[in-house]
Amino acid sequence: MKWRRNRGRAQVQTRLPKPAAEPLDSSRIAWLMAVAACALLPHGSHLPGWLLAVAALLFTWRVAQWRLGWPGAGGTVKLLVIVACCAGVTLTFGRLFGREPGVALLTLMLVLKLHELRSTRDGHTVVLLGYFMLLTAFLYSQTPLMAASLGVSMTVITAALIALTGPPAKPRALLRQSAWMLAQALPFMLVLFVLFPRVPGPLWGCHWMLTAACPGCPTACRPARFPN
Amino acid sequence: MRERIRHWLAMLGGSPALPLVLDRRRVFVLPTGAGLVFACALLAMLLTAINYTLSLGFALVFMLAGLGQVALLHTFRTLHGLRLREAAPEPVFAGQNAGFRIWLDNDAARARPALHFAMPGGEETVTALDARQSRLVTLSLPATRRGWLAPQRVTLSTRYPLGLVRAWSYALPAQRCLVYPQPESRRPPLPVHGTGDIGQRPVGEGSEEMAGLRDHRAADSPRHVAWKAWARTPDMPLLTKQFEGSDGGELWLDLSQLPATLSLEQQLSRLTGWVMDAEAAGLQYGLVLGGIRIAPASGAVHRARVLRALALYGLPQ
Repeated sequence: MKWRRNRGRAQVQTRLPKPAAEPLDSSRIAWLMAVAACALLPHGSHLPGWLLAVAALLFTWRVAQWRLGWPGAGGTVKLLVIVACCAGVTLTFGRLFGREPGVALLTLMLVLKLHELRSTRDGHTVVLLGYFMLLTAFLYSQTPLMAASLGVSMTVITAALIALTGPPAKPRALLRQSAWMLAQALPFMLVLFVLFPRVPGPLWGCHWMLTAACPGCPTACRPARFPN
Repeated sequence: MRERIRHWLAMLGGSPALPLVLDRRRVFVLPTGAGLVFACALLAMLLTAINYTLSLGFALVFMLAGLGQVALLHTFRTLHGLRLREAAPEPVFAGQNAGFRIWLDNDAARARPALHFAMPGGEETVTALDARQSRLVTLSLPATRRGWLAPQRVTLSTRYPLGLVRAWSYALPAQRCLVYPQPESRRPPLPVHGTGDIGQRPVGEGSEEMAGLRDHRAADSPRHVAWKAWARTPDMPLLTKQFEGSDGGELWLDLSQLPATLSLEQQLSRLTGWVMDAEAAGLQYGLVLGGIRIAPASGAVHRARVLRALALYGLPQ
């Protein structure tokens, strides 16, 4: 852990208020934006174009706020975006709840959360949303490429989690620490992956969710059509 | 109730009195609020993965669960094996912050970042230790009254690296901090004539002997201005050294000579202020406190002795 040795020895001690009230500094905000980028990239292929445009706009705005000191999105703007996007999701998917609309709304939540990063708790919210977005990406694709990108994304998001708690450190050092911890978690994952019982089919009656975009399936079924 | 639980926890691994090594019985771990939210989110993710039979989803969820376990271990190891020693606290004046000092020795080859130290009633202190590094950490506690200030039980904790788990332990410093009386801020000048006739100080060279200080007047010679005193406390008005003939008396600071209208604390405050003035002016001064009598002298050791007598006067031991 070379980066720790790089920290100034002359530094004595600093007094900080409670961790929850501690505002997020510039480098932590950068990490959280990296989390959002990692979490959103796998969703680029299936999200509706207008939502991608909104997400990209909000993300770029946040980057500009961070790099160039632009003013951030105010409460009114956020409220308008939420109302407009909810309407858009309902129009696009025909409903506001369910699998696809849920992913769309999660995307929106993640980019909007980037605009209200005040405390470590907000940072943790972004990290958890990021992990969840990684999971939902597997609803659409489970190729080996996705598995590989999962490894990279997890390393970045976990590094952001370390950055939120730990002292300031170089990005490479954080990534190394994150990769090391994930490597240690790997045996645990493999054991559980092999031993965990798999339930065939869904846990509760949400068949219509599973068959949302299944060509050839009837959209409505009557008892007479399935004699068994 | 909370306090009793803390006390019981603190005694669980043996007495928390310093010096100590944080062995595994002394280090406690529990998930933080963020950790509990993380666990709930994992549960939701697991249900999602089961419901949609996502193989990679299972891999992700189990990886995160493993990460939680690894975080537990890492957080525990951030504290485990740390050695704590006590350093004597420096005396302070009432109204200042007393500093209880603890030496941290990191014998391990790993760094220990983000260590939080908290003493009830004081501010939290954050520090970090590199591999095989020792560092002095100071825990401040407001000193409101003169006398001995006893340290409180110290809680040292860390959430490093992931913030999902908090590891903590307790330490109890033994050495009390001596709190001198607060020097009176707007005090009269030093009493020029000593009260005592005991112990004639040997007269130095020259016929004139410096005896005290009074407020500077425009007509005073600049050579007699107490520049040394002024340099130490530039906020104070200029003082002029007053000289006496060869019969120069001692500067005796006597509690019984102070106006009886002042309370004991005010009197001690004034004497403390005068000790500072006399020391700043380079005078020799003695102290009479009821039955306690300290012969005139000067210097840091003498000052500490006099201030200690003032700090502890009339207090039950």
